[in-house]
This record gives sequence, structure tokens and C-alpha cells, in this order.
Amino acid sequence: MRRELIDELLGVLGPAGVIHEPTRLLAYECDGLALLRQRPALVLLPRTTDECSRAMRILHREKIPVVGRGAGTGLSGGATPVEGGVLVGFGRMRDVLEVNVADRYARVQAGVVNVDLTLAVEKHGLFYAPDPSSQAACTIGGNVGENSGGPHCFKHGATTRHILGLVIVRDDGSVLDLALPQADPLGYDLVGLFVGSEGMFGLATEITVALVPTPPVTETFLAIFTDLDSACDAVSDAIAAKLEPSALEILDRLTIQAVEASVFAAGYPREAEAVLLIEAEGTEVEVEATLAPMKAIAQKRGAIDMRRARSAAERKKLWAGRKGAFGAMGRIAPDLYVADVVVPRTKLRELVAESTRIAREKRLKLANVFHAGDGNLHPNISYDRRDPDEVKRVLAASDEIMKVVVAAGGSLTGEHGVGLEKQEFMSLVFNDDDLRAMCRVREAWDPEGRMNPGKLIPVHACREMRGTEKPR
Amino acid sequence: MSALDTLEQRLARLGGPVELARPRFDVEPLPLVAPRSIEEVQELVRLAARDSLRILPVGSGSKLGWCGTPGHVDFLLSTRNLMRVVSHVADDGTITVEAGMTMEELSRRCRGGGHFLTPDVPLRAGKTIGGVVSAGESGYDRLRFGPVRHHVLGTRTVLSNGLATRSGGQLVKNVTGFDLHRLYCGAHGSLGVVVEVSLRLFPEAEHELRMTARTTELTEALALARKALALPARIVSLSIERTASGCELAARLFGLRSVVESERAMLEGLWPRSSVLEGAAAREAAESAAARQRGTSSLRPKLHVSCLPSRLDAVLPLLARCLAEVAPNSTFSVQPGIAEIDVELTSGLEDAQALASFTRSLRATLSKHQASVALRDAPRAALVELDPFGSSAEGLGLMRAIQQRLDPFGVFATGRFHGGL
Repeated sequence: MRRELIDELLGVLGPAGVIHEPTRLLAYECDGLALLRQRPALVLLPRTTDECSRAMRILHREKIPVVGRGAGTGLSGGATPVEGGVLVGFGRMRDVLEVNVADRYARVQAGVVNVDLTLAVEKHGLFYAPDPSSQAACTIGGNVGENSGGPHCFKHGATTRHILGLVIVRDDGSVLDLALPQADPLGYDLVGLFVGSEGMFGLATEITVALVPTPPVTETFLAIFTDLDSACDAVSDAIAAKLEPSALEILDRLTIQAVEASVFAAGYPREAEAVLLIEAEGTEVEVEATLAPMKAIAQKRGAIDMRRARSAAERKKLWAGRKGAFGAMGRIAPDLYVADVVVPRTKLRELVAESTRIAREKRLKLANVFHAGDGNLHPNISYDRRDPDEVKRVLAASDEIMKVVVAAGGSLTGEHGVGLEKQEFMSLVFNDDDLRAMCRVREAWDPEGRMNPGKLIPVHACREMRGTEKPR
Repeated sequence: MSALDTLEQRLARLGGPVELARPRFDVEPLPLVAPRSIEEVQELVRLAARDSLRILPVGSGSKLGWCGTPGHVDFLLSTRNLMRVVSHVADDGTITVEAGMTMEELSRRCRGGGHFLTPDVPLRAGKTIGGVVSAGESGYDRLRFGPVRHHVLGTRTVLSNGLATRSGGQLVKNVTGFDLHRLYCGAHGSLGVVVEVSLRLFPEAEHELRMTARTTELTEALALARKALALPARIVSLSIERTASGCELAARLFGLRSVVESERAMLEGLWPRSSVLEGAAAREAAESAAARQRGTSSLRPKLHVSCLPSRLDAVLPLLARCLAEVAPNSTFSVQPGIAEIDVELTSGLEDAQALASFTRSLRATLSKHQASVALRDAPRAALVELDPFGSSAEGLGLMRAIQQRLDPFGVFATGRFHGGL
């Protein structure tokens, strides 16, 4: 990066806002997908929308590619830098700008950490519903980019249902102010379109989020199973019976053992083949009306025990185990490949079994911890990235799992995004015409294709769209 | 095909019988073709692109009055004959249907699988799912379930090049690809023809009831509504209907019997002189109230006002005062939980110029409370220099760029949506 350009950016962002020293840049060379690395030419850390806008104008003039990054917890390589490109981080934009209790929304800067938002509003009897497992680190801006999920999205819906407005800095540095919450969009739904666009339309710098009233009663149960299939069947039965708990999460034996051996130990029974974490919320009557049939289904499907969290502390511990599961797997092997696919909820048992078979055939250690209620599987493969043969087998297993899932009516990703990891598999789900329509919309946002280039859409799809397509 | 073929003959060859229909009640009729398959839709769009014809996509046409008068249009393309169920996985809570299925039929099928269809819009027999999605029409049940755009899992849409493209999918959770279906939802057909819709479904009610209470003053009704909204109850819809004789407050509850009964007890504590309808009677009363409140069966001009819930206390008296001055017999209803107000304008605003002037003045008055005012079913003459959707939207340039990229040949009618899109 040219010195005079660095100096110009330093003039806009100050010394705390520009990282250019090679050793410090190392920390930004990958996100949670550590298999793919690229050192950015520069990292910018704006403090405000205005700073971000001014910096983006300079990058636009210089035609430099830009990758946005929240906390870097994404698992699909969405925040992997591009060669010669600049990475814009939001670690200095951590202010909650407004909490409107009467209208139940908050306006925050993009770098606010997910859990900090709930902590900031809980005194008002409100919370922010999307709760990714990485919520202690991930940012609201990153959640917007990926349309993140989390255990309680089963009841409350993923990020997109909770985003009421955005302030977006576009590729040329112009600011699009869509922050005011509207019941229905004025014109096209740019906010809905932007959520989940993986940083390819612009940078969200301020976000207006919906807040949800804290329920009067929350009950958490742990159903213990002697086989994983039965736990899956219990969830499929619950969906078919139209039950509406707030979360239905499954952890298998390998995950339980990793969690119990870690600082996240939650008291899960080590001898169980699977546990089903069930939570219901609402009034006392509502919770009882939801949990009674849910417990009956679990028992019918062979649950050998049902343990109720007797206090808020116990409930917190059960969830700490679930949310710490990915971290706990560091005990199994140095690296973890977290797959993320979605299946119809009628096919949970079948596709969990298929994933297990595929991993076994490739001599890999696979652990399951997943959002069963949404059909969002996470077959997690433990491996050592220093072993090239094992890396090859991990990637082959991931490919095969995606193909099997899509063939069964599933999809590539439920919450982690496509990024670099799944880009070439997009053609399993969408044909070239579908992908070209996406390219066209992207072109409207970012005509030069400088925002997070080379992600999500397979390269061939956008290359082929050039030229006229008028039917003859 | 002969060069002497009329447009009607060419349309009929590709899409079946052609009839005449008005794109608005006060403009000349145009040819309308209702293709019987998605392939026929594609052929008709290709014809339009090739011959530089302009299409106005419609479902059953029930919401054309929400939009402005289109610029040039050569023919209307209705999806009403696309009625296939593509997939209904009741045990996964999802359904995918072609766009022409009526909301009545779709609702019936969902009930057959034990599900409730949201949006619960009034006059379902005369509306198609494609039309509802394209217009972004939410039901009053959005208080509990949210707007329609939150429940569209994916769409198949015929774009201006005649290609039927997919976005999203049929799963309740899915972040694969850009959510273009969010663009098509509410775009009023200005970007393409939505031909297939996938929806998330919700459990059918085991028990349902509708509680009503009367007040003489609007402020009293609003206060009672606020108290109800503060309850830990999942109220489906909550409305205040203001008539000449006072205000009627109505809450719709449904779900598991024990839950509904507990919510009823909570509400009765707040509304001591309330009356209650149960089961089918409750549903029918809710439907007929929604139809009446939205004025969907009349051709009189209507206003749809939207603001933040906390601004209702300021917006409502201003609105009432403005109406009292020029159209004192107008009726209106309020949904306090979602802060929407529907007004049916009666005598006093028959003159188009007066209607346009009143709407402008109301928008200016309410703009300080960040309220938006849409004018529906207005005569063409009132819309000459008035955007029916309100003042210009932020990001209009970007919206035009999106429209230009998706419809570079101008196949779909413009000039009807926000800012002339």
C-alpha cells in the first residue's frame, strides 16, 4: 500500500483507525474459516459512519477492493480479505445510539457485540432475540451481513426478522440512510435485501433492531436419549404436532463429552448418546401447554430422563454448555470444521445419519450439535490442519454432506453464509439464470464489484451475464 | 404468425383467451391474458421483450388502486390461472404454490394440514397469493405474526428476459444467496411476475375468540388498547373502529385452548364490560370487521397512515381534526399495536383537486411525527402530481438502478409505484 495513501487515510481515521504494520495485519488474515487465509493490505477501523464514508470515498477513488468484518467469527470465509484489498472492521463502532422502549427498538453501531445489546436493554424488560452461539463475540453488523441465526430463532426468527433499519455506506462512500423503522418499506425493501448479502452490497454502519419483551416465564428441560436417531425423531414429531417451544437443540455424545471435559461443563450426562435441550417461554399457562406435550413426545421416543433447570443459574449453565460446544471441541483436535446445512425437518434422522456415515467412511471425527427445531444441522469435523491428507478428507466430507443434503431438499447454509466456503456449491441450489439475477442486483449496488469481491456467487455466473440478453 | 395478427391474437396464441379489463376503474380497458402455465407466462414476457410491449402483471386485480396510474401499458398479464400446489409438507410447516391460488383456497389447504395461513387478509376469495405478496399486503394479524414479507421463504419470478428465476427456497431457515424475494415482495410487479411462492405456516388455532368493548371517546379506547398490549398475551389483532356513535375496541385471540382462556381472563380484567364471540362466529366477525375497516369492498378513496406506535397519541387527534374539517363523515380504524390507521373518505372530497390538496396538506401535517400517508383508490385526476405512496423514498436512485438492471428493456409497466418506479 502506498505511503501517501496510508497517510491520507490516517488523516481521516487517526492512528487508532489504520493498521498497516505487517505483524498486526496478521490477526485479520482469516475469519472463523481458518483454512483460508489472505493478509489484507490495510485494516481500517472507523469510529463513525462519517469516518467510514470518508475513507470509502478514498478507496473508491483508488479502486481498491473492500471487505467488511465484524468480529471475524463467521465460519464461511465471508470476511477473508482479498489480495491487495482493504479490510474495514467495526471494532471501534460499539455504541448503542438509542433505546426506544415505547416502540421497542434500538439503534446501534455495527460493532456492538450481540450479547451487549441484550445486556443494555434488559433493564427495560426487553431483549434482542437472535442469539448466535458466538453471541459473546459476534457483532450486530456481522449478524446483518450473514443473516445470523441462533437457538432461539426457532421461535423468534433469524436476524432479518429483527432488522428495522440500516445506515449503509456504499462502495463510493455515499451514505444510504434507511434507519427510520417503517411498518412497510417505502419503495423496494432495501433493508430486507441487504440483510444476508454478505458484505457485497455495502457496509452497514448503524442498525435499527427490534426488541422483544422478556417473557414472564422461561422453562428449560434436558431430555436424555440413548440414541441420536430417537432425539431427531422427537424433534420431527414435535414439529409435526405444531408445538411451539422457543428452542430445540440437539447435542450428540461426542459433543457432550467435549463440553463436559471443558470449562463449559453443564452437567450433561456423559453416558447419553444425545440430549435434547428444550426451552419454552411465555406465560405460565403457555409454557405448561407447550412443555407437557413436548415431554410426552420425548418420552414416547425413548427419552430415559427429563431434567428441568430449577433455577436461572442452572438454565444459564445448560445454555453455556450448548453455546460453548464449538469451543469445547478444541479438546478433540486442534481444528474444527463447522459445517452448516439445512434440511426439511421431516428428514432430520436420515440426514444426521448420512453425515455420520460420510465422516466415518472418510475416517474423520464428527460431532453433532445443532438447531434441530429449524432443521439446521452442524456436523462438526475435528481435524488437524497441519495434516494435508486429513484436510483433504475434511473438505471431501463437507462436499459430500452438502450434496446429500441438497438432493434431499435441503440447502447449503442456514446461518453461516456462503462466503468462499460454499461458493462453488451454489450451482447445486440455483441455476445460472438465478445467479445472474443476483449478479444484476449486486451490480446496482456496487457497479465496480469492489465490495467483498469473489464471494458467494460462483465466478462464472457473473462473467457470463455481460452483454445483452434480450430474447429473440 | 402473420404480421397482420392483432395483439389480442398473438396473446391468445401464447396464453389462452383474451378479455378486456381496466387496470384502474377510471381508465380505458386493455387486453388481459391469463396464462395457464409458468411456461406460458415466460412466452408472453418474451413476446413483450421482443416486440417492445409493456406488461402490467396482476393477480386478481384487487389492489391496483393502491398504485398510481401506469405509464404506457399494452396488456395485463394475470396469474390467476396458475393454481397448482407445488409442494405441501405439512409436517415441516411449509407450502409452495403457484401465484394464482386464491387466499381462500390456500387457507383451506393450510387448514387441512393443521395450519393457519398468515397474512390473514380480508376478502380472501377475491385475492391471489401472488397479488398479496407482490403488493406486500399484510393482515391485521401482523401484530402477532409480523408482516407478510417475513413469511415468504422463497419465490419463483419471471424476469423481463422471460427466465423464471428462483430466490430463497422452501425451508424455514435458509441464508443461501441474496434474498431477492424480499425485493419482489411489495414491488407491485414492477420487477417481474411472481409465479410461485413458498410460505412458512403456523399452527391452526385449537380455540379462537374475539372480545369487544365500547367507549365513547377515542382516547379512552386507545388507553384500553395500550393496557391490553402491555399484557403478556400473544394477541393476534387489536383494533379500534371509530364510527359516528363511538369506538369499538376488538381483540382477537387464538391458539391452545388453555392459553386463549388465560388471555381472555387477563383482558376481561382490563375491559370489564366486554362481550365475547367464540369459534367460527369470532372468525367471521373478525373477517367482516377487517373488510369493513380496510374498506376493501368500496371504491371510495382511502388513506393508509402508518407511524411508530408511540406517535399515535399525536397523530390520531391531528388526523381526526383534518378529517373533521373537510370530510366529517369519514370513518377510520386504528391498529394500535402496529400503528396503522385506515380511513375511508366519504363526502366532502369528491373533487379530485380537493382530494389531492387534502392529501398533500395531511402529509405535511403528519410528517413532523414521521407518519407516512398512502392514498388508495383515488381517481386518476387526483394523482397527476401526487405519489399515492407518499413522499419520495430514501434510496430511490438505487431502486431505479435495481429496476433498470432487472428490467433493462422496460417490459414491466412503470410509473405506478413509489417515485414512479
